[in-house]
Amino acid sequence: MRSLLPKLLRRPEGFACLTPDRWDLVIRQARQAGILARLCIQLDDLRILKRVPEKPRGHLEAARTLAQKHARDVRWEVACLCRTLEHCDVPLTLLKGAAYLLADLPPARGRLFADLDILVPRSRIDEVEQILGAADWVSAVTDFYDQRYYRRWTHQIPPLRHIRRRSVLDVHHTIVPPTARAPVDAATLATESLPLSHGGRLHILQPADMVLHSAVHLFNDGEFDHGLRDLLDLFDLLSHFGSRPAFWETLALRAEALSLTRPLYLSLRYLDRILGMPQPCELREALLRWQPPAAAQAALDALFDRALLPDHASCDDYLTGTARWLLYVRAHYLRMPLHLLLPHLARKGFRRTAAADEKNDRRSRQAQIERLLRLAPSRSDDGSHAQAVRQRH
Amino acid sequence: MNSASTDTSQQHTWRINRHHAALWRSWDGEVVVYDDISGDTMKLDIIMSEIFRFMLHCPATPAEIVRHLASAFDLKADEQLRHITSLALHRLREAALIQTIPLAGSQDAR
Amino acid sequence: MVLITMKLSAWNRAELNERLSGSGLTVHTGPFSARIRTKISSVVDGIVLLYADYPVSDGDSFADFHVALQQPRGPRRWFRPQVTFHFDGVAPFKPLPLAQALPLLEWGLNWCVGNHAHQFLLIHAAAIERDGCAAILPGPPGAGKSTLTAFLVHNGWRLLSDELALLSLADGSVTALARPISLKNQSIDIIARRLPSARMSPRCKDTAKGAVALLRAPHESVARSGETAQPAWVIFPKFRVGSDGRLRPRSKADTLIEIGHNAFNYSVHGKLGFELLSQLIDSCGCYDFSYDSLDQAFATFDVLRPAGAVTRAASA
Repeated sequence: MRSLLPKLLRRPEGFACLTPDRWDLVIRQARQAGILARLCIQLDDLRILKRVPEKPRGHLEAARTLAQKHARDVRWEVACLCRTLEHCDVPLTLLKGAAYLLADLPPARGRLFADLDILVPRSRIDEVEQILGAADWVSAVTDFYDQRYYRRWTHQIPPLRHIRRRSVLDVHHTIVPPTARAPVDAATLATESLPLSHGGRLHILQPADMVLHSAVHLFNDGEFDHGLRDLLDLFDLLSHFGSRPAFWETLALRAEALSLTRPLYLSLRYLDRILGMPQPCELREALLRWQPPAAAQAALDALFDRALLPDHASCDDYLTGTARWLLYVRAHYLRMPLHLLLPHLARKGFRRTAAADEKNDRRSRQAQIERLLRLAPSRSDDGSHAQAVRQRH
Repeated sequence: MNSASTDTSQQHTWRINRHHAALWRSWDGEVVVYDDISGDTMKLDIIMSEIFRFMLHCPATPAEIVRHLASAFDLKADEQLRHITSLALHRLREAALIQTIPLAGSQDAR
Repeated sequence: MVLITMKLSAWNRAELNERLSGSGLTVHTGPFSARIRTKISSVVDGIVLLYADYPVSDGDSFADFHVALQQPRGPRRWFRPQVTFHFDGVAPFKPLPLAQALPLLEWGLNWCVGNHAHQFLLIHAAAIERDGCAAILPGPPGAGKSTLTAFLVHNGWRLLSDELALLSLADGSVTALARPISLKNQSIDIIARRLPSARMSPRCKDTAKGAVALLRAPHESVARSGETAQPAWVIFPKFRVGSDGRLRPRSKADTLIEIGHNAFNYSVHGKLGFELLSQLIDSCGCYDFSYDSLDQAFATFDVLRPAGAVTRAASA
């Protein structure tokens, strides 16, 4: 049952004849993966939705209703943001979900949006933060250490929350952490960005950059709660842009220029392995160049084949927890060079307080990294997340 | 709200902003509006409700609205009513339910 | 598609224990089914008491919600023992003292519906029915709504729901959930006195809401939970000593706003939510209601009649 959902996504006509117990699993896996609404829309497009039995159909439609609300909210948030920043000439680039929605791209369909992500030049970020602060956006991160962590080690300022609307805004200044082994110069992203039709005020990344951003977010950030959803985003983006003339060539050149060939390679590999999307023949030679050594490839397969399934007990085997864990460590390793990582973790160890909030995902994960690096993994370490206690069937 | 903006608003003609005020209901003179763009649901007080319903028929200047309110509620069209009207128009505009009609050749109404 | 086998009361305790501690027992309540897993004996006892009349089905079927009540591993299993509620493997709330396990099941099931069931417009209100007409009773905690509901559904009215009124998106009718009624503090004693034959769970003390006990829903309410009702009244009840027990009409515009605030998913439904609530307000008499005794309240409700022809509000 582990691969039930990916198999069905590869052959969606299979949804038309599922038994009740299979529907039970599909709904739960899809909900956990964050793709229940997307599935509803896909089945509706294929004219299968009406044939889905009443109970699972109810859940699919309920999820779609919620996704429609999210989309309304995002449009409104973008409108409010434009109004807040109307007297400031900072170029604003929408990223991820908001970009897909406002540009009417396929990954927006059935999406549940969390935060609003925008990209501004690093030199203007203080100015933008001030203007937002005067418009009732306050920092969602109050802890001093966490504030410093964001500003020093990541590619965004700490998330902002609107006092009244409770929405969350992530202001980025590039698409990978500046301390990464291959930092991305945001200026090159900006020069290639495309205006949306809001009187040119808003921009989105050009297609190749949008794909690379999605790839680096999935394969380098270490968060796999919605790994399958993020993989489907890439599926949608590449299906949508792939038929445009010279797209693949542009994508390959851009990946090499930004040193993002590894995440792109991994994207195409796992789109093939998990969703059956054939690797484009236009990139055959480039993929051979970018391929990691066989042993590394086998290790990555063992990790990603597990981490990209829904984060649900029915999709787990005895190695899944460890796989997610190792990928989280890998993401930190990619973010911080080793000579900075260990002192960082050591410092974190001394600062841990007895009243640590268990729901603080990142903190407790950092503590787990520390345990991993200082101690041998214990038998009881099942790699469970801090946020949710996962049950094993 | 300062008196300068009050004076300015006296010169405008106001109309319902159909983008934000597309859905509404009225019971016993109280209007509830649903704004599908912002997702807000708003109940208007008696004065704002009466102004809203009056403007549904056609755009109006503040002076016309004052005269209408005076007639509808059997009040004098005095300074106090003008002030109440001004406040109500301000709040309706803040809620994006009304907008000024642009003069010919000017930019979009705010 | 669901294989309904029989009522829970037809299963013996050993079979129930085996199911609940194994693959789970699927209990059908109104339009939803919950597959419940637990080894906690107080919860098993509570399920046997409160859910005896409800249909159950076996494990190989579709369940709307997969829930579990578990004791955590580690010291809190023994020292000041705790219980956690899980929704499909995720714990949405912090652990509670083990003594509150049964109320936690009820709160958890309400959470499942409130968070996911956007097939309906969900109002945080009680709902009762007579002659096909539903009275919706919104109100903050402590207003006496559950006490009133408990009494009325044992005196001529049918229970649609205690906490969650389910409005159909298609036609605004009310669908029955008909789950146990949650009673708090003094109302536990009042109902125990007034309804001596009604079955109630043991009292749980020191919850965030005070003392809590759960009252089994009347047989007939459970048996008829497939029947919908048309809303005819929206009544905001409040227990207050010295009240005259009269219904006082309230502003319909205010009522719409108040119900919107009391709805779990009004904003999820956007335009449709506004239209549904407008339709509800159009078709219902809207009242405030203060009462100082259950008998007084019964008398007022006994003479409730639906309004005549519906006058539609002026609208866009």
